[in-house]
Amino acid sequence: MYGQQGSRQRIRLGPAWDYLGIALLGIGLWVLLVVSNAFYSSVLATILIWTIATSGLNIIAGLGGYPSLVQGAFYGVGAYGSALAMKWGQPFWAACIEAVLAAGVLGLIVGLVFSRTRGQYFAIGTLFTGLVVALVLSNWQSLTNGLLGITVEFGFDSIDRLNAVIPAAAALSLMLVRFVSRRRLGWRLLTILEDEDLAEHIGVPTARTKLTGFVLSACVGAVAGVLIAQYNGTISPDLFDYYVGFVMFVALSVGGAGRVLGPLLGSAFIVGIPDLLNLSSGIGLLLAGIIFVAVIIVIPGGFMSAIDAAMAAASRSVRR
Amino acid sequence: MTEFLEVEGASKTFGGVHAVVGMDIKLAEGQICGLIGPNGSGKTTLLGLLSGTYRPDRGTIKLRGQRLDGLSTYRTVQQGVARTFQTTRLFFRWPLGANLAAAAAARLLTSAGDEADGGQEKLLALVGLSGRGDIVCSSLSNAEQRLAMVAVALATRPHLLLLDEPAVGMSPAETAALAQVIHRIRGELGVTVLIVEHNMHFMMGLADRIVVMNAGRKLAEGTPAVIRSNPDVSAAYLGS
Amino acid sequence: MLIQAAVNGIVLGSLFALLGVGLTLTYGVMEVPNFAQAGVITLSAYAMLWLNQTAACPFWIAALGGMVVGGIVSVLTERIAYRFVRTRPLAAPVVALGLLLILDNTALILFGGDHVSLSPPYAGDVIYVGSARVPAVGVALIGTTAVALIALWLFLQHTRTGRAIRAVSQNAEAAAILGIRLERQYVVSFFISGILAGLVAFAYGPMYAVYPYMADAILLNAFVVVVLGGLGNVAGAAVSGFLLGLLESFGAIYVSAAYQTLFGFGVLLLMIVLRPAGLFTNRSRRVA
Repeated sequence: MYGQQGSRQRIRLGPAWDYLGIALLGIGLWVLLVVSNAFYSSVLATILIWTIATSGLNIIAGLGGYPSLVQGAFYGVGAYGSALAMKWGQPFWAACIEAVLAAGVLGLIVGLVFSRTRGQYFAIGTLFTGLVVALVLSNWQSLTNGLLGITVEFGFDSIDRLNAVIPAAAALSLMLVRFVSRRRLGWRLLTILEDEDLAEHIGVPTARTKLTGFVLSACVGAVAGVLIAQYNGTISPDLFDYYVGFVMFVALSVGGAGRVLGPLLGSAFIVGIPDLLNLSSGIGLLLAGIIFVAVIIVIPGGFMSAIDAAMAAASRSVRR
Repeated sequence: MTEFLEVEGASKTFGGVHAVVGMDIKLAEGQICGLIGPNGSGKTTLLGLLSGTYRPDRGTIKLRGQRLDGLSTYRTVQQGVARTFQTTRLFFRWPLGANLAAAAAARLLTSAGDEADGGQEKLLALVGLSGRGDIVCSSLSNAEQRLAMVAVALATRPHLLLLDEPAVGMSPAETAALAQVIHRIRGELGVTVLIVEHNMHFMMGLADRIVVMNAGRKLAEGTPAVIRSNPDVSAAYLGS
Repeated sequence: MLIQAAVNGIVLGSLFALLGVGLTLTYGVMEVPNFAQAGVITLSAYAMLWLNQTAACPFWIAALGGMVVGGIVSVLTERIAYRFVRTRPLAAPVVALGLLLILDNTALILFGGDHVSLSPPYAGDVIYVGSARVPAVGVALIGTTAVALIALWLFLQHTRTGRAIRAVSQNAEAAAILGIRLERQYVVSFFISGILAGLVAFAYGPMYAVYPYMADAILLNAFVVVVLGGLGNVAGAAVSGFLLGLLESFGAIYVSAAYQTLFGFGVLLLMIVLRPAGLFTNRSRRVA
């Protein structure tokens, strides 16, 4: 319904095609995950798990325009929450639900605290919230074993099961954003993105809408955390340190904030490039930094905006 | 018998500045009321009180007997009050039709798609923007944008419409067209209108009643003819 | 105990003031937080180290050299990267991250990852103020901060370029209409910011170790200072730096040393929620 770049034509398929396309993408990614060797497989798995977390972030930050830098904290709560719950005797499925609930509650608190904060102040505030959460959790030795981290009990029937769930969850997270963006919550968030005060004046309950979006983002972030804990087998506090939230936001921006596929492309770029450029002593990260800067200067709107432009150019030349 | 709009003793102070002091206004349904006064007399603040942007420090505001003071902005909209702004505000990156759909949906007025489209076309025709629904708002001319803003406010199906200097930046011809639009809003939709405006000629020909504000208080009230011949009013304007 | 806390607070406050002023100068001009400042500090420190140890320059020359390197690197970040994303607030964090990776890893590649110490000639000295002990590096820090802030104040108040920078940071559009060439002000602001980063390196290096990620964490403190003082408010940042230093110092001594930085962050969260415009901004600036 509401295009963010109204005048530029975007290729629009019907809803069924969108979901089908994402489902096919998910299957393709699963195949890729299973046939790759151990190294590429683990890079891809990390990319997919990040896709889930950044897709969650896409709801409040992409649709709503609120630059949340605290997604890392919810990611960590998901990981630690599920691991600890299982340690305390909970079955896996219950542990997952509890971890997601915990993240939701944290999201509710943080959302309420920052309900009147906007723009770069929201960014700074959420960044420091993530920092405080990380500090508290890593210092709470009795709960989290501090910097040493904890081992995670494997909750799936087999590794194959896990390898199937990860791409499925990634695909579902993309579908979730697609779904939300067309429902009332989604377009209300979009009006808030465009002009929050005007949205309020046409009857949108902005405070309630933002809070709902934020809590939803937190819960999805926690799901990603549960999966990374399962995949890695051990977790430590640097999993959700303050910069994780920052980098997730960067990944979303590079991919295309507010766009369904943005999180996938952004995660592939931000996680993939450093991991694949696995060169010695910092050269890889140096190159990664150069690539990041170069890419965003060339396409400030992110990958999806570049794809839009390419498809528009292609359809123009087809018409001639 | 309760009046349509009843403002009693409304006051609002901002950090020592008495923006609005003890305002009393009563409007009957279907009236077009003008609100005039020199700069800084509190007109826009009064609009803010009516639209829920501000909560009055003292006094009450009632619409059809329901208390409006203290409601948040979006709740005020849901009670049937809509407003436009001095500087044009729209979802500029969206087409006009999308703006209207968002405003209508916010009040949960659209169920089936057809209803929405039919309503949109009528609304666009009413403000004189027929066929402009697919145009992105940033591409509309200034006058068109001002009219679009009115249409968006109307899309929320208000009982009371507050217009804050709607004619800003319009040529005499466009202003005359706007006056026609406002007449149609009252005549065809039955919406009560309160207009803040500096353009005297515009107001005199349009309003049933005029309320004059000065320094936050009501200075005078009456038909345009009465106001025009009131010496205090001219003094207030010349004095500022 | 009280005097020690106060003295520690002033030393820490000097560091925070330098950090905060350096960050707020470009924040006010760009409206985007410059995370890459941490990388500038790091490269500055390594430059000083190299000049002092490998090139055998006297310490003071090395310090000045490091500061100049800081200024140049900072200007480069503006000319090569930030310049292109001024109108794109969503792109800026990406640039900042990329720059940080570039700068930190350049240091890593050129100098290795070991923690090295930058030792000024007075490294071991200590002076006493009453019963409180102040390491000489602390005194040097206070001294250079005072000189730097005074010099900066004079520059911003009494030179044309300085006044132009203040005008731009208050209202870039109006400044452009008045004919102030924005480009030059951006470059000058970044240069000064880089010099201040060099000063931080000069102060921080001797107190802690020099290594590729040395400044990433203290930059967070810079944020607290910037928010307290008001984004773009240089005087505010200077004062807030000292306030924060004293707050953390007293908190560490009287409450708990482990949670020292947590005080600062707690203060920031409080400010963001209650008074985001900062302690010292009374005119209403756009908050979002």
